[in-house]
Amino acid sequence: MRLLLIEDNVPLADELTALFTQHGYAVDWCTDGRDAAVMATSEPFDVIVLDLGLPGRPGLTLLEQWRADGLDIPILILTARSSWSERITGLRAGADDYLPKPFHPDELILRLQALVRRRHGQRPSPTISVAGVVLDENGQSAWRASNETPVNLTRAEFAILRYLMLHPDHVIAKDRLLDHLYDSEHDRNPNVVEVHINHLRQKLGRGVIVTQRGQGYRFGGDATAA
Amino acid sequence: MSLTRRLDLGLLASVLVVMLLLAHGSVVLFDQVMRDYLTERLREDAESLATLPVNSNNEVQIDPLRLRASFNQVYSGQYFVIDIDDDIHLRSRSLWDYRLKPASGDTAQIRRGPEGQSLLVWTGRYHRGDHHFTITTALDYSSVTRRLDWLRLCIWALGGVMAILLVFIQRRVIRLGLKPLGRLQRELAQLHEGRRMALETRVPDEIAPFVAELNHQLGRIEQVLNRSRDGIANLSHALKTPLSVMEAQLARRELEQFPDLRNSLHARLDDIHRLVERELQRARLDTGEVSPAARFRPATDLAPLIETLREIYPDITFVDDSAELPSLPWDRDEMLEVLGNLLDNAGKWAASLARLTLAREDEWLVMTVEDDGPGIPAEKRSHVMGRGTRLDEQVSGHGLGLGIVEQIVQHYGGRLRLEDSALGGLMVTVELPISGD
Repeated sequence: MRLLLIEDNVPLADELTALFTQHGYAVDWCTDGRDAAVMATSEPFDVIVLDLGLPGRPGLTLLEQWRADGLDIPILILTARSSWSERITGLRAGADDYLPKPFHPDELILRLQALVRRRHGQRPSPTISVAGVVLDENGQSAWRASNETPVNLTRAEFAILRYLMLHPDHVIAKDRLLDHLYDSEHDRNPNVVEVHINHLRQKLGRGVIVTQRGQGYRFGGDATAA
Repeated sequence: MSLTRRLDLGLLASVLVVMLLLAHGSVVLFDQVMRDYLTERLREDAESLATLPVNSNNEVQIDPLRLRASFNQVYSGQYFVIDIDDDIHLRSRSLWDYRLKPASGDTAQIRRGPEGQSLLVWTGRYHRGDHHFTITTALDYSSVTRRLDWLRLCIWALGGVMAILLVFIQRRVIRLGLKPLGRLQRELAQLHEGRRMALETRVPDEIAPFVAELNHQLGRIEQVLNRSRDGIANLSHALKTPLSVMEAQLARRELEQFPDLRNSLHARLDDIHRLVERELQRARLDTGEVSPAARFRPATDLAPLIETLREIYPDITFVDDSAELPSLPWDRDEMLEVLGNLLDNAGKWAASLARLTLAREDEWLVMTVEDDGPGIPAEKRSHVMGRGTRLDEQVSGHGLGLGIVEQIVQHYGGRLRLEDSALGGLMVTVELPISGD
C-alpha cells in the first residue's frame, strides 16, 4: 500500500514515516508543494496524507488541482487548522478525511485504514474479511475463517496480503504489486515478492494466492473452505 | 456646558454691553449736539435782544409785538431776562413770576424751570454805549430730554432685537460649523460598537489634528491587536506540530513498557493542547467586529456542515429541522464551530439519529442538538460543563468540543443547557441573544 506523505515538518514526517511503515505502508515523503504536485500524479499511490501549510504551494490549492485533474486517490488532510469552517473547506475541496493536529497516532492509522477500505467498497472495521480469510490490520495477523488460529505476518507479507485482499477479484501483475508495496527509493526485487508469497502460502494454505502465469497474482481465499 | 451654549451666552453678553455703550454714547453725543445747536439759538436770541432800542431815559423799550410770540405766552418754554447796568431788570412775559438766575460762564446750563420744565440757560454780556447788558435766555429743554429718552429706549429695543437675532444667526453658524462634529460623534458611536475602524469625516482644520491623532492611535491599536492575535494564532498553530510529533513518539513500541509514564505524558500533552485551543479560540473571538460578509447565514451555511457530518458519520442520520432564518449577527466561523462540535458529539454518541433545530424565540436564537444515544445522567452534566472535560475521549478526539462551545456561547452572552432529548439521548440547547440587529 503506497502512501504519499506531504509534510514540511521534518521531525513529524520522520515519526509518521516510521508509524506508517510499521503499519505496512510504503511511504514516499515530500516537503514541498510543487514536488508533491508532480509526485502524486506520476506514482501509483493508494493514499495521500496532506499537510495544508506547505512551502511552495498551499495544500488546498494542490488538493483542488488534483481533484480537477481527476486524481482519484483518497486524501487525508493533516493540519494544525482545527476549526470546523476550515474542516468544511478542506472536505469540500475534495479531501476524504480531515484530521486536526495534534492527533493520536492510532486514530490516524484507523482513519487511513477506513479511507482505503471505503475506497475499495468495504465497510470500515478492524478486520478485512474476504472469501474466508480474515486480516486484522491492527494486529497484522491473519486467519482462515475455518481455522480461527491467528497467524502473525511479517510487514511485507501483511502488505502483500492486504493489497490482494482489497482487490479480491483482480489479477495483480507483479510490477503493480511492486509499485504499491515499495516506495520510490526502495530497491525493488521481484524475487523477494515471490519469497513473501510463498511464506504466505505456507502460513495460510496454498490456495490463498493464486499465480496466474504470465499475468500475476490473484487472491484465492480459503481454498479448504471452498 | 456645551460649546454652543457657551458661545450663545458670550455673544449675548457682548452684544448687550455693546448696545448699552452704543445707546448711552449716542444719547450723550446727541445731547451734546442738541445743546450746542440750541445754545447757538439762545445766543442769537440774546444778540437780537441786545439790539433792542434804548430810549433817552436809559429805558429799553420792549415792544411785545416785536418780540417772538412765544416770549409773551406764559410758560411757553422760551424766556429771557435782561439786566442793564444792574439796575434795570427786564423779563419776558412768558416767565411770569419765575425768577431766572443768569448762568455762569460761557456755556449753556440746564436748570430746573417753572412747571417742571428743565431749562437750557445761557447768559451773554454786551456793551452798548455806556450800558452793560447781561442777557439771559432760556428755553425748555425737557422735550429734547424726553425725545432723547425715547431715542435711548429705541436703541435699547433695537439692540435687544439685534442681540437675539445675532444669537440665532450665531447658532445657525455654529450648527453649520459643528456639523462635522455631529458626524464625528456618530462615527465615534459606530467605532464604539466596532462597526468602524477609523474616522473618515472631513473635519475643520481646528480639530483635524485630533481626528488624525485618534485615527493614528486607532490604527496603532488595531495593528498591535492584530499582531498579538496573529501571534497567538501562529504560536498555537506552530505548537500543534511538535505536539503531534510528541504524540507519535509516545506511541512508539519502546514506551509500551512504561504505561504510567506514557499515560502521564499523554495527559500533559492533552493539557497543552487544550490550552492552545482555548487561547486560539480566544484570539479568534477577540476579532470583535463581524463584517457583513462573515455573518452567519443559516440558509447557506448549515447545508455544508450537515453534509460534512454525514460524510464523517455515514451510519448516523442527521436531520436539520431549522426554521427559515435571515443572516444573524454572529461570526460564521464561530457558529460553525459551536454547531460542528455539538453535532460531532451527537454523531459520536448517537445510535442512528441526530437532530439539529434552529429557531428564533423573541430576542433569542435557540439552537438545539440532540441524539438518540445513551445521553448523560443528570448528575454528571454539571461535571461535563464548566471546564471542557473530555467525557467523549473514549470515542475519539480530545474532549475539547464542549469547552470551546462554552467559550463561544459565553462570549456572545448566551446560555448553554444539557437536557434529556425526546429522542432518548442528550439534548444540548444553546441560546444566544439577538441584539443590535
